[in-house]
Amino acid sequence: METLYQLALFFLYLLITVIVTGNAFYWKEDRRFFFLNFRQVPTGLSIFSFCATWLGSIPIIGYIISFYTVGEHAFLGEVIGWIGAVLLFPLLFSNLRNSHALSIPQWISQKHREPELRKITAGACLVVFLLFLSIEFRGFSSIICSMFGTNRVVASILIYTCVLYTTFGGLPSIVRSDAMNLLLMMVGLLWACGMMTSQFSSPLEIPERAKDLFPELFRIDLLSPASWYYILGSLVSIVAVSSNPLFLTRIMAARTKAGAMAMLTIAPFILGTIYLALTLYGLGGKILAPGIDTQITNFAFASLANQVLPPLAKTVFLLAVLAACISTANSQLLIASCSACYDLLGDRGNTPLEVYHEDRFLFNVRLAIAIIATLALGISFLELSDILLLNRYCFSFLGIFLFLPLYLPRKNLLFGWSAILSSGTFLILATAYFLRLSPEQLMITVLLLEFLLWNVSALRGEKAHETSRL
Amino acid sequence: MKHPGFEQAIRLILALPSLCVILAVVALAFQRDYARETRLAFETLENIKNPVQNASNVPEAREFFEKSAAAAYWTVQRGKNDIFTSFSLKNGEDFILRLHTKALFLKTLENQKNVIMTGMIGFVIALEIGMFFSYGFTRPIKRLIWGCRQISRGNWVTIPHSWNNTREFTEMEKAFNRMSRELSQWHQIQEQLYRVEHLAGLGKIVAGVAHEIRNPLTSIKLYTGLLEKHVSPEGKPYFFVIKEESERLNDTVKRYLSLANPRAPLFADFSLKELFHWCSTVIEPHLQEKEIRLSLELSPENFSWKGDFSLYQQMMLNLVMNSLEAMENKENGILEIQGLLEEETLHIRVRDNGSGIPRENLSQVMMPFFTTKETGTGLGLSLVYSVVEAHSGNISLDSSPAGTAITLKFPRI
Repeated sequence: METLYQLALFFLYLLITVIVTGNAFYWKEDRRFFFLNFRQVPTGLSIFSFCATWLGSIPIIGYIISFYTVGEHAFLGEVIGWIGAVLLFPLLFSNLRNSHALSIPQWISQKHREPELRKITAGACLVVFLLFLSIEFRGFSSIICSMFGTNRVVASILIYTCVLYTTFGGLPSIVRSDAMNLLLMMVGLLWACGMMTSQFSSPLEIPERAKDLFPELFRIDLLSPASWYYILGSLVSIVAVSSNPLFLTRIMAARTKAGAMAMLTIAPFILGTIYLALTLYGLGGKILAPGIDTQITNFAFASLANQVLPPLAKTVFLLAVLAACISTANSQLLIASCSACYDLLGDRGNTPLEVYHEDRFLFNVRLAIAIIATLALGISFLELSDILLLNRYCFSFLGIFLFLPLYLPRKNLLFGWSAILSSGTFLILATAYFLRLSPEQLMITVLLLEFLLWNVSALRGEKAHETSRL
Repeated sequence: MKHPGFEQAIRLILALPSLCVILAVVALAFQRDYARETRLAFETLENIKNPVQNASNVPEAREFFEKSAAAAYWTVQRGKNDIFTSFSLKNGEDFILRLHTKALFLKTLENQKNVIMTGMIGFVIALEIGMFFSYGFTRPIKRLIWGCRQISRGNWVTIPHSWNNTREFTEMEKAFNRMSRELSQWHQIQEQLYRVEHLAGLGKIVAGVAHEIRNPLTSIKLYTGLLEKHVSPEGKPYFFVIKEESERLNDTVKRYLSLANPRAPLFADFSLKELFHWCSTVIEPHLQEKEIRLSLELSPENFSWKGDFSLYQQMMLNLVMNSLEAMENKENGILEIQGLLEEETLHIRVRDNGSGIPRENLSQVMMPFFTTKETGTGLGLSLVYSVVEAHSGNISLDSSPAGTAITLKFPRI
């Protein structure tokens, strides 16, 4: 029966996605529409889209298994870090809302008046989001493979086609499918949590029993090296999430300032509820199935679901993970294609007639979407490393390239941001291999170096500026 | 009511047959697998036939059956309905087995799971192909609509050929472009006709008025010449004002007359370099006064051209004076004069970075007496037009708030 539920629900999901997503080639479309929906995303959809993009399959799987393994440390490293990033968004809020830029690299280069900076940050976004996308493909396909014994190639191609379908329509299609995906995620995750808690007398019994059975999960000693590892992780999450173009573009695309602010205010509550459900699920899983091998995260997740959930709940839970995967992957794909076509290639092949120019440009963007998704699919089969480790590296890279240019003010620099970021990249390549630094240590080191270089450059630049004025 | 789009229609058209094909393929694969599984189910019976028949009673037979592979396909049935197979035991009892069709169905479904999921992928891919199909159909129509809108605004655009268009759309584009070109020519002819009629009417009036002014003016000029030596030193400044003003009036009358009754051009060879040199010398004081930079470009550097030199002088002077006036209050004004001989056509381009001509005035600037300047006569560009026409050339004007470029093209005579 499980197979029947699974296939029927998947097909239903596909049909609803097709109906909800709408047109791929809109009649009145241009790049402002495609990338930012003319900055007219209604408040409700903004909130839904923000939350759906936030919850990818990797954060869900990673958080459940982390909580299963290390308890409250996972909350410290992942939830506090991620939600904490929301506190930094208001620092960019007004500038992002007032800007006419269509992408974050463009906004950064306009802010610092450095055209090369746009290319560098766009290149970084392209590479990082290509890897993120491959992680999403691989994560989801290996789960579906472990849980239902489906062929991995088939599972990967299924998610690849769904992501392509929703991304071809640009941000308008993505936000609509995001709303549906968030609803599905909430239903799936809350249902799974409900099935888990139904095996106990009350939800409150889960933490109480877990405290008795596994007291080590609730012991946080802030002075221990393990805690510092998670505190560092939390700090890195704040830096990387607050520099993530997926969320910054949602601020730009909202219809009104009040709507964007409402999105930033309400989303943490929705996400908090989901994280609470995931926490209960992880803890309940630890009590009911304590002996799961957590060395390989996605297999551990599948094994936990197989042991604690009935077939229908398991299928709906898997569908929720699929929805989480698609809602994040399509936004990542849009950012990657925007970086490639809009920021890196720019307006090449400009034809004099505006209608042709926009048509051709948007057709090329869709071609880029197909190429990037296919590349990501190919990379996902390469089995580069554990997906959580790869995910951490990607986040570190995002922070290294975007955080300081986003949040530091504009100054007269003697050697510009391009030189500062290039030095950072060189340091990564030179030291990462030999020093065996973790992605978090690497990011903090490089950010400190970049900050130092920026200060030196700004001081020298101010002096040179004063001299030239005299 | 919002009409459904072409993309939705095409997707629906493609989705339905693709869904049918996918369902048919999946059903065929399913049916084959179901048949294979049924065959397997009966094969498993062969393996248990002897041991079951040798069992002394039903519980013993049942125990043996449940340990065998046949248990996956068959269920023990004690009854008279739905009997598929039965074994007679040693004690004379019947051991009845019924084919477990639900288990068989689910097993087949499990076997065919990847095929069914591949079918779902095929369905989504069919929809994605549908999108690109609809793109191929809708974009040429979108461009055509854009072209029609441009033409309704008076912009005679043509639609460039797209390599990926179908034959029908290519024909449609060709037809549109032909229509656009013909409409443009028709519009030009209409403008010329209007101009001719306008000029003919004006010419009669102007010629009459100019004639009436010219006769007394000739007398004034003659007598001021005779009076010059009799004027006292105190009266000389006033006398010169009268003389200069009558000269100016005479020039104005001449210009009006030349517009009303243009003389036939006297064709002779002249040097373009000489024309440009003359032009730059004449406007030099104006350039210095307004701090405007002049850029002269002639390619090839020196060549002779056949035309009426004095008319060319008149034309160039009017063009550059117009440009200088457009850059009246402009800092870093640049005036570019280019002459280019390309095959058998002479291109003269005068470009400035002045205030430009408002869009709504573009179609009228060549008309006589049309002016937006307080002291203008509205004859400058009109004279230019007459000279170009007299030399069988044509004139094009491109203006924006960043400046104006006037390009003249003359065929070799």
